[in-house]
Amino acid sequence: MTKFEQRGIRPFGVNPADVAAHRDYVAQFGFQFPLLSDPDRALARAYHALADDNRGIIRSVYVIGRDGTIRFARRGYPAVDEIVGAIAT
Amino acid sequence: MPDLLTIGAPAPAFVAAGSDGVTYASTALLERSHVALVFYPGNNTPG
Repeated sequence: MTKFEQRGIRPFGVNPADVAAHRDYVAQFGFQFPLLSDPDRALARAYHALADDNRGIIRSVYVIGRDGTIRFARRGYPAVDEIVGAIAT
Repeated sequence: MPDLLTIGAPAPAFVAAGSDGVTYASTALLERSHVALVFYPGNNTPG
Protein backbone atom coordinates (compact mmCIF):
# COMPACT_ATOMS: atom_id res chain seq x y z
CA MET A 1 0.00 0.00 0.00
CA THR A 2 1.39 3.38 -0.94
CA LYS A 3 1.85 6.19 1.54
CA PHE A 4 -1.06 7.99 -0.11
CA GLU A 5 -3.33 4.99 0.35
CA GLN A 6 -2.25 4.64 3.97
CA ARG A 7 -3.52 8.17 4.64
CA GLY A 8 -6.69 7.75 2.60
CA ILE A 9 -5.52 10.13 -0.11
CA ARG A 10 -6.31 9.55 -3.78
CA PRO A 11 -3.66 11.16 -5.99
CA PHE A 12 -4.24 12.54 -9.47
CA GLY A 13 -1.97 14.21 -11.98
CA VAL A 14 -3.52 17.17 -13.83
CA ASN A 15 -2.46 18.55 -17.18
CA PRO A 16 -4.11 20.03 -20.32
CA ALA A 17 -3.36 16.97 -22.53
CA ASP A 18 -6.34 14.96 -23.74
CA VAL A 19 -7.44 11.67 -22.26
CA ALA A 20 -5.85 9.61 -25.02
CA ALA A 21 -2.49 11.28 -24.51
CA HIS A 22 -2.79 10.77 -20.77
CA ARG A 23 -3.70 7.12 -21.24
CA ASP A 24 -0.59 6.59 -23.36
CA TYR A 25 1.57 8.44 -20.85
CA VAL A 26 0.27 6.31 -17.97
CA ALA A 27 0.92 3.16 -19.97
CA GLN A 28 4.41 4.32 -20.86
CA PHE A 29 5.47 5.00 -17.29
CA GLY A 30 3.20 2.70 -15.33
CA PHE A 31 1.71 5.34 -13.06
CA GLN A 32 -0.51 3.88 -10.36
CA PHE A 33 -2.88 6.84 -10.36
CA PRO A 34 -5.03 8.52 -13.02
CA LEU A 35 -4.15 11.67 -14.90
CA LEU A 36 -6.95 14.21 -15.27
CA SER A 37 -7.43 16.04 -18.55
CA ASP A 38 -7.78 19.82 -18.19
CA PRO A 39 -7.83 20.98 -21.83
CA ASP A 40 -9.29 24.43 -21.21
CA ARG A 41 -7.04 24.92 -18.17
CA ALA A 42 -10.06 25.69 -15.99
CA LEU A 43 -8.82 23.45 -13.22
CA ALA A 44 -5.33 24.95 -13.38
CA ARG A 45 -6.83 28.42 -13.27
CA ALA A 46 -9.06 27.58 -10.31
CA TYR A 47 -6.08 26.17 -8.39
CA HIS A 48 -3.76 29.05 -9.32
CA ALA A 49 -1.51 26.73 -11.28
CA LEU A 50 -1.85 28.60 -14.57
CA ALA A 51 1.12 30.72 -15.62
CA ASP A 52 0.75 34.40 -16.45
CA ASP A 53 0.73 33.57 -20.19
CA ASN A 54 -2.56 31.68 -19.61
CA ARG A 55 -1.05 28.58 -21.20
CA GLY A 56 1.82 27.25 -19.12
CA ILE A 57 1.21 25.13 -16.05
CA ILE A 58 3.12 25.86 -12.84
CA ARG A 59 4.02 22.63 -11.08
CA SER A 60 1.88 22.70 -7.95
CA VAL A 61 0.74 20.12 -5.43
CA TYR A 62 -2.44 20.33 -3.39
CA VAL A 63 -4.11 18.07 -0.85
CA ILE A 64 -7.82 18.54 -0.36
CA GLY A 65 -9.31 17.20 2.84
CA ARG A 66 -12.59 15.28 2.90
CA ASP A 67 -14.08 18.42 4.42
CA GLY A 68 -13.45 20.15 1.09
CA THR A 69 -10.72 22.46 2.33
CA ILE A 70 -7.14 22.94 1.18
CA ARG A 71 -4.80 21.05 3.54
CA PHE A 72 -1.53 21.35 1.63
CA ALA A 73 -0.31 23.68 -1.12
CA ARG A 74 3.19 23.82 -2.51
CA ARG A 75 4.99 24.68 -5.73
CA GLY A 76 7.60 22.34 -7.17
CA TYR A 77 8.47 18.86 -5.94
CA PRO A 78 7.56 18.41 -2.28
CA ALA A 79 8.51 15.09 -0.73
CA VAL A 80 5.80 12.45 -0.45
CA ASP A 81 6.13 12.40 3.33
CA GLU A 82 5.54 16.13 3.41
CA ILE A 83 2.45 15.82 1.19
CA VAL A 84 0.80 12.97 3.07
CA GLY A 85 1.74 14.62 6.38
CA ALA A 86 -1.00 17.14 5.68
CA ILE A 87 -3.51 14.46 6.67
CA ALA A 88 -3.26 13.26 10.26
CA THR A 89 -3.21 9.53 10.90
CA MET B 1 2.77 33.99 -10.89
CA PRO B 2 -0.45 33.72 -8.87
CA ASP B 3 -0.31 32.90 -5.18
CA LEU B 4 -1.14 29.38 -4.07
CA LEU B 5 -4.57 28.78 -2.61
CA THR B 6 -4.66 29.30 1.15
CA ILE B 7 -4.56 26.44 3.62
CA GLY B 8 -8.02 26.05 5.09
CA ALA B 9 -9.78 27.72 2.18
CA PRO B 10 -12.53 25.86 0.33
CA ALA B 11 -11.08 23.84 -2.54
CA PRO B 12 -12.60 24.61 -5.95
CA ALA B 13 -14.91 21.82 -7.04
CA PHE B 14 -14.11 20.09 -10.31
CA VAL B 15 -15.25 17.47 -12.79
CA ALA B 16 -12.57 16.06 -15.08
CA ALA B 17 -12.02 13.13 -17.41
CA GLY B 18 -9.40 10.68 -16.25
CA SER B 19 -6.87 8.68 -18.21
CA ASP B 20 -8.65 5.52 -17.05
CA GLY B 21 -11.89 6.46 -18.79
CA VAL B 22 -13.60 7.56 -15.57
CA THR B 23 -15.02 11.04 -15.09
CA TYR B 24 -14.07 12.27 -11.64
CA ALA B 25 -16.10 14.75 -9.63
CA SER B 26 -14.46 16.21 -6.57
CA THR B 27 -17.69 16.13 -4.56
CA ALA B 28 -18.01 12.39 -5.05
CA LEU B 29 -14.32 11.72 -4.45
CA LEU B 30 -14.28 13.64 -1.18
CA GLU B 31 -17.13 11.55 0.20
CA ARG B 32 -14.71 8.64 0.37
CA SER B 33 -11.17 10.00 0.56
CA HIS B 34 -8.91 12.99 0.63
CA VAL B 35 -7.58 14.06 -2.78
CA ALA B 36 -4.12 15.08 -3.96
CA LEU B 37 -3.78 17.06 -7.19
CA VAL B 38 -0.41 17.39 -8.87
CA PHE B 39 -0.42 20.01 -11.62
CA TYR B 40 2.50 19.50 -14.00
CA PRO B 41 3.60 21.30 -17.15
CA GLY B 42 3.31 18.49 -19.67
CA ASN B 43 3.60 14.84 -20.49
CA ASN B 44 7.10 13.86 -21.52
CA THR B 45 8.63 17.04 -20.09
CA PRO B 46 11.02 17.39 -17.16
CA GLY B 47 8.27 19.10 -15.12
